[in-house]
Amino acid sequence: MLRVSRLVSWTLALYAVASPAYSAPSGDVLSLLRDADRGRGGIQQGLGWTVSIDSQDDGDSSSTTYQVRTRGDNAYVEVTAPARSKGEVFLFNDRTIWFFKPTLKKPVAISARQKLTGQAANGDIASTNYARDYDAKIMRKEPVNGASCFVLDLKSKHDSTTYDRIRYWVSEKRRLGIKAEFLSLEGKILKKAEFKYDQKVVVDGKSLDFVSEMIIVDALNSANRSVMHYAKPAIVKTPDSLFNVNNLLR
Amino acid sequence: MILAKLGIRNFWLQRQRNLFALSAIAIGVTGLICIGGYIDRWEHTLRTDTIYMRGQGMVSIYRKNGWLMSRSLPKKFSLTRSDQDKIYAIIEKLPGVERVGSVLNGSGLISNGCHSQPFEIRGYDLAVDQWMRERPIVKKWCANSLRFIRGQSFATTAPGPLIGIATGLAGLIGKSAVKALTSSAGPLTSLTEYCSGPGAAARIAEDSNVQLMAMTASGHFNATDADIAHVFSTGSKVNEDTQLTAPLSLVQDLLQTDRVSSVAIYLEDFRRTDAVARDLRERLSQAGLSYDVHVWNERKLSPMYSGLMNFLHAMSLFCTLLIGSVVVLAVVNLTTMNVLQRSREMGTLKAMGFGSGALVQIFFVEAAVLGVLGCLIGTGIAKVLAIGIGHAGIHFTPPGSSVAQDFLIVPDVLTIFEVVVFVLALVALSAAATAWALGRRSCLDLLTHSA
Repeated sequence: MLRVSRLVSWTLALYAVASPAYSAPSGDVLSLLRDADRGRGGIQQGLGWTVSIDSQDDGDSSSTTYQVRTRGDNAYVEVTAPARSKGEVFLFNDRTIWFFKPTLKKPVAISARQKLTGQAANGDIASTNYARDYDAKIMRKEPVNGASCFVLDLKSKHDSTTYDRIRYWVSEKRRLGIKAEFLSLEGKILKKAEFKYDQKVVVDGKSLDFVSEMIIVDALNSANRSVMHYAKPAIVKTPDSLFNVNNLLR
Repeated sequence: MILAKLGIRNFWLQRQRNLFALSAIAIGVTGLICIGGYIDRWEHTLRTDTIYMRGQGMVSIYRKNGWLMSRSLPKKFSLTRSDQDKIYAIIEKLPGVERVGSVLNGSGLISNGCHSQPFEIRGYDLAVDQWMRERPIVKKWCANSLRFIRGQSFATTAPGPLIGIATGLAGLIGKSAVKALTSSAGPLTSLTEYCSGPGAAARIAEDSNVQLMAMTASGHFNATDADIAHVFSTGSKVNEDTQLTAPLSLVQDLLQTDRVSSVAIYLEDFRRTDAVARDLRERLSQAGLSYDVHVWNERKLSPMYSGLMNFLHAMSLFCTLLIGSVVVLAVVNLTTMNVLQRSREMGTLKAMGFGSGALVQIFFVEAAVLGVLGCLIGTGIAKVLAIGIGHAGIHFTPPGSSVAQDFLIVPDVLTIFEVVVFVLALVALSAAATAWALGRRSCLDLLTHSA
């Protein structure tokens, strides 16, 4: 009898050790996610950068460049190339996204999930705020390219997020997102992404790592991919009026 | 001749008993013609709707797999300018072609400035649309679909980028006004006021202006302003919340392409569809061109036509079996009674040298007279009913339909002919088989039998 109970105890102990859920205080997870967001533009101060997206999609290639200006939960993204799309604007007002071009009488409300170009969705273009939009849980620790990473399971809090679920590898040491898998509600991998942080931005006198490249690959066809090159990140003063949808009409 | 005279005389002598069988046959014929007429009405309406109102034509040409893929991957699966030129050159040589039109399908978001809804759009040649609306066959069979719920056709609305919008989708974006009926509003200064200020719902409803946004063929965003020219019903609940129509040029501008999804061929006679499709495939193959050729009644192209017609045919088969059984039972019963009652007469005829075949002939003639009279009366009643129902103006909403339809019974001549031949054959065979089975008894047996 004693042997049986000992066996059960050992089995339960082993199960607890091997369990995929990595227990960590929820505050730690949130703080980790906020730090990772910061490396992808998620800061409260006004920030600006340019991003060009080079896409390969079913054998076709395309390239688009955007000028991005963000502050808090808002972003103003203007197309600067190609010439025929110049002047088109994506305005992120908290969770609402507007598309506007000068020939329109009114802007069009669009979804963060809608395809922007190649593999990139509308929601991929502006700053990231996973800490606000997702419930996060640390699943385990796993090395990626030799660096120890927390594997986070992110579940969308509302339906205006870009993805329903994200598996997110955040570097333990640098506290930056290293790679991600974007999943459907059923857990099917739709797209994979990798991030590089080869540039810095100075915020409040502190030099922070800032994303320099994001590669998004179609999970079913790796030839379909978009490479987002981020450049010239800097703190910029952006007036409130820039994010006012009414000003698009003027 | 003597046998025919005997048959007709016997029919008259047994007129009271025959009246019951005659009623059964006449009612059966009436029922079958009415069912056939109801099916004919839907056959005409759905065929005309599929070919003309949905812009498919009798024969349509797509790039390989274009029917399935041209909407999602237009760059790979739609017809380029060069494809269109080659196809038009071949169609020119096809006999029996009345008209040719191009169609471009797309999808995207329609916005009232405040919120957006997904749409599917069909762009078509305005000249073909105008021609189609004037066709008597379309006016006759698709009167309901032809009528706009509000507004006018593109050709008769003030110029500018115009769309037609399905009632369901118009409701979803809160639009009720059409361009022809509204004055042009001044420039908008505050979207917040427009969308959520006092009287916002009425303001949005009275504004015919919308924005269409779509992914271009080369994978970029594009958007354009348009005005609602008319509100229409698709006829089907499934499509009511998503459908838009527009001139081909507007859809090409929106998708930034000169491509089309398909080329639709309208024939002088729809019955030549399969022959023309075969001819076209052969000519394309000879020219070394590889395109998909579809005909209008393919299940995947016209699911509504195929689904509803299959259902109606299954239903009519069941009713035909039921009505046929009643007619057969009535005739068998009548003939049995006659044979049993006239056993002595049959015995006498047999004693005089008439064979079993001759006796069957007498009952066959009686049944034939019964059948012909029943068919004549039944056809007459059915025609009167069809005219009466047509004039009564009865409307109903079939399952899955978004609008009420006229209840009509319009039997074709062929349908009436088929019903009459079917019932006559049924009556004659039932009578002959019964008489044959009962008349084979010996002369003595027949003479000594008392009814």
